[in-house]
Amino acid sequence: MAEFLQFLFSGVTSGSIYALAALGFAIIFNASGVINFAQGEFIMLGGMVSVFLAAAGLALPFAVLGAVLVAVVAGLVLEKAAIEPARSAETVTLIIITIGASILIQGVAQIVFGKGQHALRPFSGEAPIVIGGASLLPQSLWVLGVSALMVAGLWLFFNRTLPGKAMLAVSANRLGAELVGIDIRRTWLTAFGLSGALGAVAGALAAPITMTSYDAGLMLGLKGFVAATLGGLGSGLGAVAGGLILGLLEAMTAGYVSSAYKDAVPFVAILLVLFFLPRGLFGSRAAERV
Amino acid sequence: MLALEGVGMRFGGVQALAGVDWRVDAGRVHAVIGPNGAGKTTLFNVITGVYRPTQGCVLLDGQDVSGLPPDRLAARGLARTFQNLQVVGAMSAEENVMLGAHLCLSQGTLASLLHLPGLRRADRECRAEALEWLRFTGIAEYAGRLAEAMPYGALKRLEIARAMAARPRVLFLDEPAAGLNQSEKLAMRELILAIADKGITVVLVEHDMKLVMGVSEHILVLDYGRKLAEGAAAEVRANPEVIAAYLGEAEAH
Amino acid sequence: MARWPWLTGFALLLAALPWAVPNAYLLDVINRIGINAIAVIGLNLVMGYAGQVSLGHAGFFGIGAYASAVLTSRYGWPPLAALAGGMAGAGALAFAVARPILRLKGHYLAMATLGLGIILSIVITNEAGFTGGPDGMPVDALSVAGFSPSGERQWYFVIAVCLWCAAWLAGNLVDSPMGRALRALHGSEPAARSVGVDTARYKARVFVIAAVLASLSGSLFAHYVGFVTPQVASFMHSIELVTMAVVGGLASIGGSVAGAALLTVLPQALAEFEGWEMVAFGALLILVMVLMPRGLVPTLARRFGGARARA
Repeated sequence: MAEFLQFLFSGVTSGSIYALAALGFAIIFNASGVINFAQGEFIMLGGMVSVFLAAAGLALPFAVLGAVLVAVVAGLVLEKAAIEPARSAETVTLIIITIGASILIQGVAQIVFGKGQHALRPFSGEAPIVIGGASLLPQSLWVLGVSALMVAGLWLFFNRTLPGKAMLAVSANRLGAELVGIDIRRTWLTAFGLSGALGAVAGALAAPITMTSYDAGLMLGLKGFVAATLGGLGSGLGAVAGGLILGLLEAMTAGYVSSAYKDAVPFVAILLVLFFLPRGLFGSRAAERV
Repeated sequence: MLALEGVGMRFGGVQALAGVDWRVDAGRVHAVIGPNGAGKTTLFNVITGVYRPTQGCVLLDGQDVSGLPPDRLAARGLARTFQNLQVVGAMSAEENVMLGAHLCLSQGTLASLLHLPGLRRADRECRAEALEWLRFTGIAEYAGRLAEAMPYGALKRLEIARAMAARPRVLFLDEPAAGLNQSEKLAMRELILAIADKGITVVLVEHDMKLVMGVSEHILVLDYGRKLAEGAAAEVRANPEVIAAYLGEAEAH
Repeated sequence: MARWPWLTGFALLLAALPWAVPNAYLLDVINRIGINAIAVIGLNLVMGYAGQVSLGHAGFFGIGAYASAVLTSRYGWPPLAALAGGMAGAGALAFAVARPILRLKGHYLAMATLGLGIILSIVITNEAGFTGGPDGMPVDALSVAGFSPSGERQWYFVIAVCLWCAAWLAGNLVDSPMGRALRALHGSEPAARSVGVDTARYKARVFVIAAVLASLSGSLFAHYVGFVTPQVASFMHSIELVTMAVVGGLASIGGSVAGAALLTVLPQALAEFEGWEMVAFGALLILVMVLMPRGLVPTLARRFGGARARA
């Protein structure tokens, strides 16, 4: 039982990170139809910039805030400089553009931060809390709490604020939204900025638990994409559920089956799901129009 | 040869078609008319296999074919055009028509990779035949032009040429005259009659009443997904329900 | 069609190239370009002509590379048999997964192919007993009936012949009824189906052909370099292959070769500038895609040769 609880804790913790990553994918996909392969780099920036600002003597909250700012700027620049000029391009072209951005950001990170691995100091101590024989790191509580806050905040944003509703409108019907006067470009910008912020927060939260380095974004980004797809692309709640499911599956496989194949779990899972449900677990099953 | 029995189609909460019975007889020109949203294109999509009907069945030569995919139905002699054009823009007009003859050509992977002589010969014949169909539809001048560079009226004909290259028994035309000017409409009428002269059964969905009345021997009227009336052109024209529901405004005044 | 002038020109260029190249280092780069180009030509059939995104193609490259490495050294297969075995294996796997995967569209398809590639690379990394794990393993020399190519120059001719054949076969395919069906299901799937194209079958076939070419390319790479690591099957390598196809030009066989050339040379040329090579690489990808979304060769062909050029 203690063992199971231990795997559960670690699964929910990494699942929350994946959920935030997946939300970043979902927000941009909803607003623009683009799958942003640079999403993982926002996460990496969140971790790395926090580490270096903290090392430079900044208090932790300001270091994290700085990291979020950097990621938001990266998101805005990406949208303005690379996505907007190509917005009528084909899917695969947009995929290559965001992959190009991902490589570029990694390159810059390597130049600025070097190739080493870094860890951020935990937000509040390292003494584990023991529950039912399993130990829970205080940082995990930070991850869970902040993730829950972010999800709630996003819910409020999409349901209670005008820019949020505008974004939903654009995803439901772009032409219709444009006709009622919603500024599509600003919506896209907001989506990229928001995803940058989400990614950076996830990265800062995870940095004390998993080490971070200039190339840490790749796998996290891919798993975020898996989680977003698992939940049905574009579904916010689906993304959160997808993230948590992935985290749990991974932790349980690592615990009970084989830790070597832990990283393969999300990809096997998504293949199986897509074989049977071509639009993910919670995706819409709209009929195709001819 | 083609019969619908109680065909219904439901999308979520929308009943696009309900209990449609209909018979298409070999060698005649049929039209399906009705106001916008009456379910005409849905009916086409159900018959040609794009959708599987949620109720009832489609019989072809007495066999239930409902739910067969479009490519299998094409192999059984159904061909169609599309309301919003479906041509391959990056291929020439000629190639688009040659695509229509897809089922008549050998498709072996090895033969395709190696361009075996048999395949080359068949392809040459296919090209010659495609030119014939381009001539038949009156757009031979565009043969080498990429479809994306062709004018709208010619593309409507290109779709017909492609469908004809498939050597269909039944040809479904989804709004062949939509967006055409007056003289183009007249030419389209001639083309449809020429197709019928070849013994091909034609079914068209069309809004232009002059064209419909001019070519069709049998008319099916749909309204809100239900069959409102059917019969010869003159009967349908005189049917008070049809006048009220559809022709109404135009005819009453 | 007007394909033979191109193929003849390409053959002449390939034949003349080694005499124009001054040193072994450059010839080595050219050999690597050729190996990549074989895989990219196959990938371009899937992506450019059939319009199906594949982000896991390096997985098939990896199957070829490791078939040549493992079957020769651990099971004593002759290299040519191992190479054929890899191609058969890659083709069989592609065939098995093609129907469920290629049913998917857009980003779901991207996700599934990406997942397939990553699973293959993780298996290769983890099965260290066969593959040597993350450190990789050496590969025996290629030998065919007693002849074993050695040195950049001999290898050049082996690769050039394979590359030319790949271009020839791909060109044939594109210009056959099957190629028309493939291009049609990219341009308009409803139209293709309405004239009887069994789209699932054609997608599966072209996917298999591409997997077989990638495996061949992987086998050549393994023997040529003499050493393989799981890197050959990695996601990044898949991305490199896709990038070569897209930057060179989708639906263009000449573009595949040009893309392979550009993106093989560039990292080598920038390798000294640590970090900056990634910045330059990333920036170039973005620039080419924003300014020439059709890719280099089709864009340039359009500009200089009129709209009808199709190399």
